[in-house]
Amino acid sequence: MSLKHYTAQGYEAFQETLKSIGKGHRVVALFTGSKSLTTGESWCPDCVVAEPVIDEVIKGADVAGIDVHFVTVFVGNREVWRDPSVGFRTDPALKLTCIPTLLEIGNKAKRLTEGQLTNKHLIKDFFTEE
Amino acid sequence: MKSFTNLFGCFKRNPRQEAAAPADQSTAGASSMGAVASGMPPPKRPAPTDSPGPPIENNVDAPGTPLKDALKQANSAKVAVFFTGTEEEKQIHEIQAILNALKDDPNVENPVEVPEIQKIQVSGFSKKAIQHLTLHNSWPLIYIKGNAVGGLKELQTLKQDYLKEWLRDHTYDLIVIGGGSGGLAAAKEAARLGKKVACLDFVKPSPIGTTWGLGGTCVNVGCIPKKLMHQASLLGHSIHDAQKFGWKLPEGKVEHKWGHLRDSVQDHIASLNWGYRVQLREKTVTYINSYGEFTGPFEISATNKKKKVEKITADRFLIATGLRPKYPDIPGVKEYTITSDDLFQLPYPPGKTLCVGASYVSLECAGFLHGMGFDVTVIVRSILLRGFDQDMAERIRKHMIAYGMKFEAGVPTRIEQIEEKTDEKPGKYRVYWPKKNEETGEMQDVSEEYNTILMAIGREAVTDDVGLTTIGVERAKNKKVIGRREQSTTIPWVYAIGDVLEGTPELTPVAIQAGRVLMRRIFDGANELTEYDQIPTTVFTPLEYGCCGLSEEDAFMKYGKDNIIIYHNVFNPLEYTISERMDKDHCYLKLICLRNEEEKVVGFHILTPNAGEITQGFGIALKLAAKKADFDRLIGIHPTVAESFTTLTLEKKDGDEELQASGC
Repeated sequence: MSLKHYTAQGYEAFQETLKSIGKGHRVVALFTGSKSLTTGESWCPDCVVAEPVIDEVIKGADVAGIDVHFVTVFVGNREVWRDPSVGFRTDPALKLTCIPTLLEIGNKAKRLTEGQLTNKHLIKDFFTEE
Repeated sequence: MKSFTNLFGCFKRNPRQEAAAPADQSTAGASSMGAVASGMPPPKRPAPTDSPGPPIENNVDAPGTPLKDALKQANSAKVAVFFTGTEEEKQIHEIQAILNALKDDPNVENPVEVPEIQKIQVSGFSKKAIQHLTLHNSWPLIYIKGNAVGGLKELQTLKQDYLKEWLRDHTYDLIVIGGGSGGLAAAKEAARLGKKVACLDFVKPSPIGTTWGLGGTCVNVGCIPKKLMHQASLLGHSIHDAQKFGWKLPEGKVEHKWGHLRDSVQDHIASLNWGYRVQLREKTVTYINSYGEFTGPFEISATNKKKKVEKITADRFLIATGLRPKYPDIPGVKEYTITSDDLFQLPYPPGKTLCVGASYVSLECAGFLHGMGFDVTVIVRSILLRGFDQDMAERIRKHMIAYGMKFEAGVPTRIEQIEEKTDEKPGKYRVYWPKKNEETGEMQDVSEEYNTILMAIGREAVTDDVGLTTIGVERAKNKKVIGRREQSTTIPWVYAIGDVLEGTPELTPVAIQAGRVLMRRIFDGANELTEYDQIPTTVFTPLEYGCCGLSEEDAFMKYGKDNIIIYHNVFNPLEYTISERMDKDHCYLKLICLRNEEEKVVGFHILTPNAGEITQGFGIALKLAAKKADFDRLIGIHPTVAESFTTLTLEKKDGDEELQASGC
């Protein structure tokens, strides 16, 4: 039993990843701004701040041992993200309004966004709470 | 335009000038305001409360520390004593002697530090204010670590080892036991004031295994799911009404899917559970999902789901454990029946339902289940809504019967299982109760089969396992904590709020207010009390009942029947006319007034759609001691139901015929 980490670039790739994981599993997804090929940094400043915090939590003992599929989804560049018709915004199962967003597939109740993702306790709660 | 200027002029007028103005308010008003209604608002009076209000200051030159500073000093000192003059010196010496006797040998490991008493001299006026604030009448008044203890006598009755432990340091400033409406509000307020707080919450599953997340009764198995299901039921009727307003509905019957509603409600509750988790984290309250029990005067043993035990200590404790549904002592009740703890998560539609009890829980649940199309019977022992205005309770009963709900009089004595329930469908049960045979006059058992039996005969405090007897926190016979200004009457560092506190209304907003105000008092030295009277409430039966203040019975008892005058009326909500709703014949309202106090309004009652929204607004009128004349000079909003309160002229008299409403 351990946390399995995937990455997906864009909405279609994300749907493919979900299909490959299959039903009956706990899936948590982090939606974050794509990184520039030249600088290696994301265009989304909140995402840049949140990244190391989330990394630390998922590597920590409490979370690394949880039976969960964790997908880091790079939503694309600023233009792709801003488009109101992008899959991430329109998909009723996601309905994203901002990034970074951490959510659990199939669980409408739990979601962490933006500044909340700099709080390592909150992120840990998100993974460990049933 | 002149009258407008005068209108604004009167708003700017200095209230002090009003007091000096001639006693005949109406002429003073009329001369400057022209068309505006008679008289300015009457001079400010203290709000009426059942208990005597705080003392009114009349001597600003009295010696001593000003009250506000005095309270803050007592709050931050380790040991403080309020006194007024030299006559208390001797007692203060004795108090210091008791403390000094606790001193440890300096060679002992972890010797306890005995502080010097901080003596705070206050004026006679402040003394009265402090006594009113704490309801401690002993003087000089001792405070230890910010908690009012009492006088020398009360100090002497405290166990010496408790007193010694009190002076030691502990991990937390406050441990809250119970993460419901009161507990969460208090924990967040204490954290806001910079205190180190832990909040314990643990739900012991119901007899059939139902459990839920952080947030307490209101969020999980009370107000929130109830109101959503009540709304679901009302919407069903709106769909029906819509047709009379011109909407064309597709062919076929409009049906309700229980599972869909239950899932939507549970999704919302889950988001609230998570929301509270996030809030506690963000406000740095330590949340512990464990069951707390006192294993020492300042120590809690917290047991989690996996039976792991963790010990934590604090300077103060707040008990906010609320209530759970009561079960009668009859065979089969725990296996074959459910309560409000289980109803909102029921995996299958309830089917033919028997609601046992005459409480608002029973009536509200029966009401929305009936509205969704289930066959509902309510079985009651005697009267409906004990404690509420009985004339209104009778009107509710009449409405529910006209609405199609069934009532039985009796008390179930046994329950038999006919068919076991599964995950997908309810079982079948035969319920027996004694009923008087009409012909023979003898009592005989009757019975009826139901799919679901909802027990709603009352709620009780579950405090036996919290270790209160271990440390000596006094409880009432009903196991609620006995408090004085929310402080335990026997253990001064333990407090209680919400449903578990004896003698206060069992309502979420009461718990929230009490929690916040208490935290400000004990952590910030605030001179603030929770007002427990004139609390507006609403019963969300299919036709809602809103009330604030006294019932007819309580008003008669308190003031005498001859002193009471009741204005009342019936009305038809305009929206119900076209839709020909039967409810319109049951809408009713009344104001209960005092003859000898210029018809001051002491009771407000209304049976109507949207009663909650209406009653909240009018609640402020009672708080500000409004009189019938104030309601009269308020101009109504038309067309509404609430406007009826502005045009009441009919007096309720014994032997009156039933009122008939006319349209507008």
